[in-house]
Amino acid sequence: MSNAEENDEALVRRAGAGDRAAAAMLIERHTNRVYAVCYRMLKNSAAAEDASQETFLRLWKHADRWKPQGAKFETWLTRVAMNLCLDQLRKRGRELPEEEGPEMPDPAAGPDDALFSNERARAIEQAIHMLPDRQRIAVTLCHLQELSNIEAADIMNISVDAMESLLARARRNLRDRLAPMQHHLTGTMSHDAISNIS
Amino acid sequence: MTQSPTSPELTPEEEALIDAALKEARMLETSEALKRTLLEDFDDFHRRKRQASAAFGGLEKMFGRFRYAAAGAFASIAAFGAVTGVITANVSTALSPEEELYLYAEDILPDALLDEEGVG
Repeated sequence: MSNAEENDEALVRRAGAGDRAAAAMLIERHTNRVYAVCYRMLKNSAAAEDASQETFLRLWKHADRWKPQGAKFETWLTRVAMNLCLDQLRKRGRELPEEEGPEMPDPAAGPDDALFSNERARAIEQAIHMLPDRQRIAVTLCHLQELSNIEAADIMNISVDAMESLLARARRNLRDRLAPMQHHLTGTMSHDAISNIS
Repeated sequence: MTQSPTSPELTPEEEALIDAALKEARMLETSEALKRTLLEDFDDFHRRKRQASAAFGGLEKMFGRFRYAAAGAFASIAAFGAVTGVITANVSTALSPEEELYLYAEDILPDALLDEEGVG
């Protein structure tokens, strides 16, 4: 079986035994997700990278005795990342500087389109950044990490009903913040409308 | 912007807007440098683990070589304790009447008197 077909659990076992190729595959598969959770929670790219590093260190430490215990590996790793971020937020009393949303150029677009796309992406990131913490975490887990409501509720230690309520409030909040760029999101909005929401 | 608690529910068009925005936000990527750092952390972790394992293996080997000596020392200490116990268990034999009398006199008479009369 090639690495690409191998499931996470098997890769974790191999990484636990010191298999570098398995570790590299886990890193390739999960770094973006872990980083995204950390970045959206900490709102700071340097702190998010530190938290991602710490998350993977925890993985290497537990890899040789890691057992699924009902949860998917991805859920477990997300929970580790989220708990580390929560610890950081508690310890530092939210003194971390917040950054603008990251720039994400679209490689398929021309120079003007790339600029347009960057502005739009940044506006969306800002809208997510401005959500209250719990709503932002709920959105991050359910919509951005694509975890089920049950998994996300489990990670946040709340009921599924509470999770659904958080998500509904977050979506209404996002609606209010993103309303000016509604047409742009469907491809027909002007640059001015986007800049109005920042 | 603060959301009003009475904010109306989302229309289907707004739901679509939010879904489109979240789909776009999902494309958050990290640098290759971070991935390289994570792999270096893995290498460091396993290097340290191997070193610790080698050090522990050395200790285990050393203790393994002297395991009979340690067992012998323990057995000697146990035997010494047993012998001491037996000896001290037999020292409290009953005193004869003369010995009782002597000890009684020693208790009640001053030392100086005993010395002068040659009893002590």
